[in-house]
Amino acid sequence: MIPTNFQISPLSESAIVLGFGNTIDRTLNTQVLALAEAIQASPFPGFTEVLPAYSSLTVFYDIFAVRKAFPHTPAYHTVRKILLDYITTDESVFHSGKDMLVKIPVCYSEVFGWDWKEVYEHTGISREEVIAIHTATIYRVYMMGFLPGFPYLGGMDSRIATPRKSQPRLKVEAGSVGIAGEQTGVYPLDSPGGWQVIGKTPVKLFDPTTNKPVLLKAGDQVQFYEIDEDTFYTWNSAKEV
Amino acid sequence: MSIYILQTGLLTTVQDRGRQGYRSFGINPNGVMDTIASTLVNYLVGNDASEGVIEFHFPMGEIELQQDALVAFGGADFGLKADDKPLDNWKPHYLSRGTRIKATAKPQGARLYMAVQGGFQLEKWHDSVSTNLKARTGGYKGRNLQKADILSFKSIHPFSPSLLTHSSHWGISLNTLQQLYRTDTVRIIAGPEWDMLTQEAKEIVQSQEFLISSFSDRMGYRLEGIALEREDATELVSSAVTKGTIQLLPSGQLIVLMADHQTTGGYPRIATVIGADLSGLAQRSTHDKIHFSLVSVEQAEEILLTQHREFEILRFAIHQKL
Repeated sequence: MIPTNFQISPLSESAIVLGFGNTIDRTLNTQVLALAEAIQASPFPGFTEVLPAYSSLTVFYDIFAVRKAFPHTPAYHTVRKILLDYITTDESVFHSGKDMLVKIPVCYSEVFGWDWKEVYEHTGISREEVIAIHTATIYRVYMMGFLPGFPYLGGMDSRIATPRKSQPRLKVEAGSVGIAGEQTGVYPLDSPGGWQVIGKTPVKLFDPTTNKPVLLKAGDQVQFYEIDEDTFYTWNSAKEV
Repeated sequence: MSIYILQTGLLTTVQDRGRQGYRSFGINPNGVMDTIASTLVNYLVGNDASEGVIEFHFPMGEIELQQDALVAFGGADFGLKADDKPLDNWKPHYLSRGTRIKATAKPQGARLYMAVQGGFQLEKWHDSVSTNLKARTGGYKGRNLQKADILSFKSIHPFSPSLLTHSSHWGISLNTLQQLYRTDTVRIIAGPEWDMLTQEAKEIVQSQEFLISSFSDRMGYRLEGIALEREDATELVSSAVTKGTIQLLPSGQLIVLMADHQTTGGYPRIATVIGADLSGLAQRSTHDKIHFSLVSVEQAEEILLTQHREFEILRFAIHQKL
């Protein structure tokens, strides 16, 4: 059941944010995704898209289409009422968390992991042990954002947490796997960034040339596994993950 | 049936009204900065508002038509010349093959738009020809147009003889444009974190001047003004942002997110520029000063509907001429 204390406010004249508190919480995030699914499964007239985040759901709509269906009321009021109806609907309507587990190969070699020294200096944990911890955890994709295909992963073991670099790099290559504070993630594109890079995956998290340009979606589970340099270089990107 | 780029401009991309429906993948809409201009230049050549256009910045470089074409320009005034003859904005022009177009004056406004009858021949990426520079996809090879690029037109319908003689003789009136592009204030609605501002900060937003800093581009406009204080300094978990979202940075300064914004962010969203005023803001340049005024979301919606009705009237009037 969605918590009863929530904030509903316009993000623009064609988007409404439902805020369920300022927390990173697995159960709450699952409920956010369930609500997003419910709205997508039976969209209202004028609905364009949803953007689920950690503890909020933003619903975008086309005011012209909403007004066409409900001419006499401001679209904001119409959509607000519709969203409140979705929320108060019985929880049995919500099905979510197909809990898809996506396994991502990572080469943790120093060729790709440029920041092993800093990670060791901060954590005092050896490279082998950090790899063991990093690959043992099953991470949850709480949300997608920042860059096309970028997953906000939660659940990293705090023993390997390392602060961001004081001086961000101008270019971190696509596929780089990094740690930033208590977060871990993968760069889907070449991008400037301050994450401590510990490895690289040959798998594309974003590939505009395919029909499904993005590998992950909110709610997926992710686990990394180690590959060596030879495997990395010979990785067939078409191979199933 | 194409445009040839003779000289590279500062930032020249193909854009349309944006790529909707992919935010939950981290893929933002992109699209034109100034939808009033893109809509009107499209109407002037008989296209739908959603057709792709070229967005030029200054300096714009130089282009050459490789085929006779009906074109229209609008948005910023770059003092355009076609083979050394002045080429007015906001009019349809029938130009012959070989015509070269370039800017000749210090720009008034920030971005110039060009539509060609029928639109450009480009493969859509996820329903749109908008260029996503960061992901290097969409538009023309996912990048800005450069010297020696050739941008093809779609197959064009035959022109009516009257069109050829009457083009360049009529256009959208200055009065209409002034009504569409208001210049007094930039209207905003309160954002989800408006109440994180102190009462004093809320008053500053509505009464004081903000300068558009030189750190302003298609991603966002950084503003300079009196630093704003927060009631509470809680860090926020990331949530959705959109075009027009005004975020409060830790320094107390504001940034207005524009067409190439990220899909999510963690700074307080104190307000949002209303849809109808985004085009006017997109034409403001670095070092311009702006004032905000607060309206309700219901008012913002009415203003956008009114703007839409004005577009419909203009489209009908232009259709009669074409």
